[in-house]
Amino acid sequence: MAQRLMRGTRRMRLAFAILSPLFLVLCVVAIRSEETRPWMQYQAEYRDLFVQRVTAKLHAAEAQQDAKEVARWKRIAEEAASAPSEVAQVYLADLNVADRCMTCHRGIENPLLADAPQPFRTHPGDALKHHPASTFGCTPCHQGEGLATTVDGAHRRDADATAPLLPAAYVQATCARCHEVTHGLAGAATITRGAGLFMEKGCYGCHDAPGIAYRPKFAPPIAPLAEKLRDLRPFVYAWIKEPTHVSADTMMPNFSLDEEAARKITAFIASLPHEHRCEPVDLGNATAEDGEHLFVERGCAGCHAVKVDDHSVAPRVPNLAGIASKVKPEWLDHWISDPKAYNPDAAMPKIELTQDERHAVVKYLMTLKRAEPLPDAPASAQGDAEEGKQLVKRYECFGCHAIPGFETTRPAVPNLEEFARKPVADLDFATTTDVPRTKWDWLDRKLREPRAYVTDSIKLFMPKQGMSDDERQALITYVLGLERPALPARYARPASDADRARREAAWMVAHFNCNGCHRVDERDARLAKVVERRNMVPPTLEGVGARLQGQYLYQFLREPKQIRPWLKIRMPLFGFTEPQAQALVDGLAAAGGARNPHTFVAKADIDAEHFQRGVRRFKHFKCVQCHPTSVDQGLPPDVDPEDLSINLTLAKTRLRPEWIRDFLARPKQMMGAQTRMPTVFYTVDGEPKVEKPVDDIADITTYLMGMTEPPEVTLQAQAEEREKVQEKEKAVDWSTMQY
Amino acid sequence: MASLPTDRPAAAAGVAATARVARVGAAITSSQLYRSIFRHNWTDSARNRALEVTSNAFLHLHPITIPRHAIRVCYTFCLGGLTFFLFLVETVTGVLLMFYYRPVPDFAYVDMKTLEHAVQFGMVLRNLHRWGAHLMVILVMLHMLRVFLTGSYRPPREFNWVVGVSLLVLTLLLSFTGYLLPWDQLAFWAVTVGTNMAAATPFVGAEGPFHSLVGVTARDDVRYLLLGDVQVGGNALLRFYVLHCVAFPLAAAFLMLVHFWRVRKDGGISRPL
Amino acid sequence: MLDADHTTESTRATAPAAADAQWELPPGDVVPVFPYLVFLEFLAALLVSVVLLAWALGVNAPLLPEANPGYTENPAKAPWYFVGLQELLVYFDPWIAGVTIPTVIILGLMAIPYLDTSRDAVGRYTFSARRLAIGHFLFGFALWWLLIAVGQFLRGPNWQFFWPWQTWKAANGVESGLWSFPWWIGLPALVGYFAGGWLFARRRWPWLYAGLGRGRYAIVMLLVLTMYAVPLKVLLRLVLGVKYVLETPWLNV
Repeated sequence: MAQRLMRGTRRMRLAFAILSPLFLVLCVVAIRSEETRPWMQYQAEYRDLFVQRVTAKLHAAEAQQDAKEVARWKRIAEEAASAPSEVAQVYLADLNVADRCMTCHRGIENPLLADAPQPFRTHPGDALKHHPASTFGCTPCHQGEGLATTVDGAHRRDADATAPLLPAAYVQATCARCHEVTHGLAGAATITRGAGLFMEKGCYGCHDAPGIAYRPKFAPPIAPLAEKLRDLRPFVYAWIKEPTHVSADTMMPNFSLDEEAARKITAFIASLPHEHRCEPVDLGNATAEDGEHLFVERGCAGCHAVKVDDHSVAPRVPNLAGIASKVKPEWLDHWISDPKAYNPDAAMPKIELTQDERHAVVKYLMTLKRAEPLPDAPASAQGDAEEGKQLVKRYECFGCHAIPGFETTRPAVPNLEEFARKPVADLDFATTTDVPRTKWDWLDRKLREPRAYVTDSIKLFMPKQGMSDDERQALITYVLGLERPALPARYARPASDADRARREAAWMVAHFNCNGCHRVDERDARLAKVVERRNMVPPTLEGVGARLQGQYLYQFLREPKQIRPWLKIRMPLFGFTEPQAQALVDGLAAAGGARNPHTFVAKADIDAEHFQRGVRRFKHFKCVQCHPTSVDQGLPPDVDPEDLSINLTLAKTRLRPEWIRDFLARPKQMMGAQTRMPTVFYTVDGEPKVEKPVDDIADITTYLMGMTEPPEVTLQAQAEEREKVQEKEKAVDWSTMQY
Repeated sequence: MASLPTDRPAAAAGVAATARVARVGAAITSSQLYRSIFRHNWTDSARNRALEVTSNAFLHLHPITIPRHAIRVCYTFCLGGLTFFLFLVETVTGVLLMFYYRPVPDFAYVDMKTLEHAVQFGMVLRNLHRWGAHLMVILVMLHMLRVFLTGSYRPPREFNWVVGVSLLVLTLLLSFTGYLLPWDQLAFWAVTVGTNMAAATPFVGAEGPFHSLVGVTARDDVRYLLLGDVQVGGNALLRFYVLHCVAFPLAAAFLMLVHFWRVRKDGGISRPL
Repeated sequence: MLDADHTTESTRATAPAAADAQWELPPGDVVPVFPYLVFLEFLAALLVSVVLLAWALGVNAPLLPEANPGYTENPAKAPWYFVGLQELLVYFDPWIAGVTIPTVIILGLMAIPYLDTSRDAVGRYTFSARRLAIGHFLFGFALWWLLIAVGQFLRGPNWQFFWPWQTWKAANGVESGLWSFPWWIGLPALVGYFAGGWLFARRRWPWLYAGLGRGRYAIVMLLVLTMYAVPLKVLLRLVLGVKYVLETPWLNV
C-alpha cells in the first residue's frame, strides 16, 4: 500500500478536480440567476426613468422659484430613488387572485409616465378611477397570469394557455363579466357596438346569445316570393349565389354555393306554394314626377337609396336602384300600403299616403330599372326541388328567413357561450398554419373566411358576411365577452330595468332605422343629405329621452300626431307593441340620464304668485312671436310655417320642466350655435343678462307647466321679430336641433 | 495538554508563522471538544483508514474492506448508492418546499406559482425535486436490472431482493403521490387516470369484475379509499400530501435500513460467493 | 488530562505507531473501503449533483394551468413510469392492464429469488451461464420501456397513435371492425397457449424442469408465459383486430 492512500487514486483526484469546479460554477449560476431576475431589471429601469421625470419637474419648479413645489419634488425624488426592489402584489381573496403585474408595470398609477415606454406607462383612460387596482387587480380584466413575474409567464404566451393576456383591441370583452349590460358604460364602446352588431348583422338568426329572447326573422319570408318577384328563378339564383353582385350592400351573406347547389335551392324556392294577396293595380294617371317628389317629402328617401353607387341608411334597407326589374308593381303597392300585412316581421313602417300618392310612388319606383338584366338561371333537373330542400336544411336558411316546413326549426349551430368558455386547445385550427393559436385570431379568421377551417372530414356551412375591420373587432370582443365566469357578488353589476330598456332601445333604433330621419349618436339623419332644406328634417334623437315626458313620448310612438306644422314628413306608424314602446321610452330616457315615469306637475304644486309672474315674464320676453299656440285656424297668408317654432301650449304635456329650465338658461350650449332660440337670460359665457335670471326661468317654467289656456297671440309683433331673425339665420340645420 | 503528540509534520525550522499555525492546529486537534467528535487522527495508515469507516456514523454501514473487483465502477455503477443519495436530495429539497406549500386546492396552485416567481431559489428547488424524482425512478429500475444481471438476488440474498422490489414500488408511489401536489392540469388528470385504474380492481373496485359480489360502490371501493372522494379533489390532495411527505418516506427509510443492513449481513457487496 | 478511557479507539490513537504496524488488512484480494469505495461514492454523488443541478437550471419543471375538473386534458397521460400500463389499456380491460398486470409484475419480481435458487454465477455479469433467465428478464424490461416510449411519445388526443412527425389534429378514424374469439375458440386457445408453452419448454429445455421441480417450473412457466401473452395479445389486436381472446359474462381477456 502506498503511503498517501488517503488522498485517493490519481483518477479519483482527476475526477474531483473536474467535478468540483463544475459544481461550484453551477452554484454560482444558480445564485446569479436569482439576483438578475427580469423584473429586477425592469424595476431598476423604472427607478431611473421615474427619477429622471421627477428631476425634470424639480428643475421646472426651481426655475419658477416655487419653494413649496421644489420641496415636494425633492421629497418625491428621494423616495423614488430609494424605493426598494420588491415584488408588488395585489391580493383579492374572494377571487383567489394575486396579481404581481405591477412588479414590472410600476407606473400604471403614476401620471408622470403617461408617455413612457411599456411596461412603465400610465394606465390609459380613467378605467383605474372606477376600478382601482387595489380592489380589482389586473387579471380580472386583462386576463393573463397575475402570479407570474416573467414576461412570457405573466402574459401567458404559451400556445395552449387558458385565459392568455387579452390584446388591447379585445380587452373590453371582460367588461361583460361584471356588467350584465354594457350600454352606456364609459369605455365599453367596442363591446357595446359588438352587441349591437350581433343583432344588426343578423348573427342572432342562427346563434343564440344571452339576453336575446324572440326576435323577428332577420330577412323576408321566402314562400310568397313568387308573388313579389317579376321573374323568380333568375333573381333567386343570382341572389343566393353572389348576393353582392345583385345588390352591393346587401346583408344577405355569401354561402359560397356552387352552381348545382344554387340551382337546387332555386328549384326548391320556386316550388313553394303561396297564398295570393296582391290584386293587379292600375296606376292610372299617377306621374313618376309626383312620386319622386313624394318619395323625398314623405321620408322614404330617409332610409332608401335609389342610385347604384349610393347607400341606404343601413345595409339591411334595400337600395331601390333596379327595384323595377325586381318586383311587380302590384306587390309594391300592396307592400307600401301595409308592410306588416306581407311580412309580420317587417321593419319598414306604414307611411300615411293616399291611394293616389301611393300609386305615384309606385310609378316612380317602376322607373328604377336595372342597367343590365340578370342572366337566366340554369334549367332545373328532376328532383332538384327535393334536394334543394335538403340543402336549405343544411345551410339553415330558415335562421333568417321564414320558410314553409321549417317553421319551428332552430339552426343547430355552436352555442357562442359554450364557445367562449372553450380553451384554445379545443379549437380546431384545421390545416391553417398562419393563424396564431389564440381564440381571437381563430375568430378573426373565421369571420374573414368562414370556411377556413374546413377539412376533409369537417364541413362548415357558416356564410360570409361582409364587415369592416372595426366591426369585426367589435364582434369578436362581444363573443369573447360571452365567457362569464362565476364571480363573487360584490363584483356583479346586474342590469337594472333601465339598463335592459337601454339595450333594447339601442337595438330598436338600429332595427327600425331611426337614423334615416333622425340624427342618432352623432350620425346625421340620412334624410339631411337628400332634402334641399335641412330644416325639413325631423329633430335629433340625441337626448330626446331627457327632453320629452315619458308619457308623451309613449303616446307619440304608438300614435304619432302632428307637432311641427311646417314639416310634410310625418312620423310613420311602426306598429310598436306596448312593451316595445315602453322599452323605447325607458331606454331613450336612460340614455339621456333621465328616469320614467315622469312626475306630473299638479296644480297644487304651482304657486299662484310665481305663475302670474311667469305670465308676465312670458309676455315680456315675447315668446309667442315665434312659438305659435295654435295653427288650427290656419296661418295668416304671410306666415311661412317653416319659420315658426314649436307650439308651447303642448309644453305642459310634452317637455320635462328640468329640460325647459336648462334650455332657457343655455340654449346655445344645449343645441349648438345655430339655434334660433335667442339667449335671453345669460350670455353664451354664462354672464346674467337680466336682473334675476334664475327667478325668471323658474317662473316661466312654472307658467309653461301650469298653462291652462293659450297665451295671447300678437302676430304683428311676431312678424317683426321674425323678419329680424330671418335676416340673421337663414340656413339652420334643424336636424341637429333639440326643439 | 500541549505536549500531546500531533500528526502534523513539524513546521520548517525558522519559519515562525508556520510554526504558529502548527501550534494552533495542534491545540485544536488535541482539544477535548475536537477529540470528542473525531476519535482518531489522520495519519495515513491502514488502521486509520479502518477507523475512518468504523468510527463514523455515516460510513459505518460499510465494511472495512471490500473485494477489489467490487469497486470497479462498471460493476455496480453506484446505482444503489446513488438512489439513496437522490432520496436524500429529495428529502432535503422536499422539506424546503414544504415551507412554501399548502395542500389545499385553493392555495396549492397559487403556491406553486409563487414558488416559481416570487420565492428565492424556488424554481431551482422545485426543479431539483422534480427532476431528482425522475432520476431516482430511473436509477432504481436500473439498479434492479444490475442486481438481476449479476445474479445478486440468489441465495442468500433472496429476502433483500424482496425488500428491494418493495423499495422500487415505494419509489414509484412516492413519485406518483408527489405528482398530484402541483395541482395543475397535468397533475390532476395524470392522477385521475392513475386512480381510475384502482377502480377497476377485481372485487374491491367499483368498476372492476366481480365488484357486485362484494357489493362495493364508487363510495366505498378502493379508489374512494385512495382519494377520500369519488374523484380527485381536496381530500385526495391532502391524502397524497400526507402519504408523500410522511408515510411513504418513513416506510422507505425503514425498508432502506433493512436493505442496507441486509447487504452487509447477506455476504456484503455483491461478489462471487 | 487525557480522556483515554472513553473508547478503545481514542486509547489507540494515543499509541499510533505500534498499533498501526500491527494492524493489517484481512487476507484475500481486498482493498480498504476508505478511500477506495467512499471516495468513489462521493465522486458519484458529486457527478449526479452536477447533472441534476445542470438539469434543474436548464429545464423548468412543467406547470400547466390550474387543475380544472370541468376540462379534461386530452390526452390525459399518467406519470411516465405508469404510461406503459396506460398504453396497455388499449389492448386490455382496465382490471388487467391497471391492476392484474402490475400486481403480477411485482409479485413475479419478488418471487424471482425463490424460483431461481441456484448459487452459481453470482456477483458477475454473465450471459452464457444464464441465457434463459437473462433473456426473458431483458425482454420484459425492454417491453416495459417500449410501452412507456410508445405511450409517452407516440400517443395523441383520444390516445390515438401518431408518429412524431405527424400533427395531432389529423383525427384518425375510430378503430372499428374489432372482433372477439367466440368462447369455444378462446378458451381452448388460452388453455392451449399455457399448456403448449409448458410442454414446449419442458421438451426444449429438459434440464430446466429437472432443476426446478414441478411446482417451481409451473410458477415460472405461468409468469413467463403471462409476460409473453402481453405482446402476443398486442399483436393479435394490431394485426387481426382481436378485441378479446375470451369473452365471458363476468370478465373479458
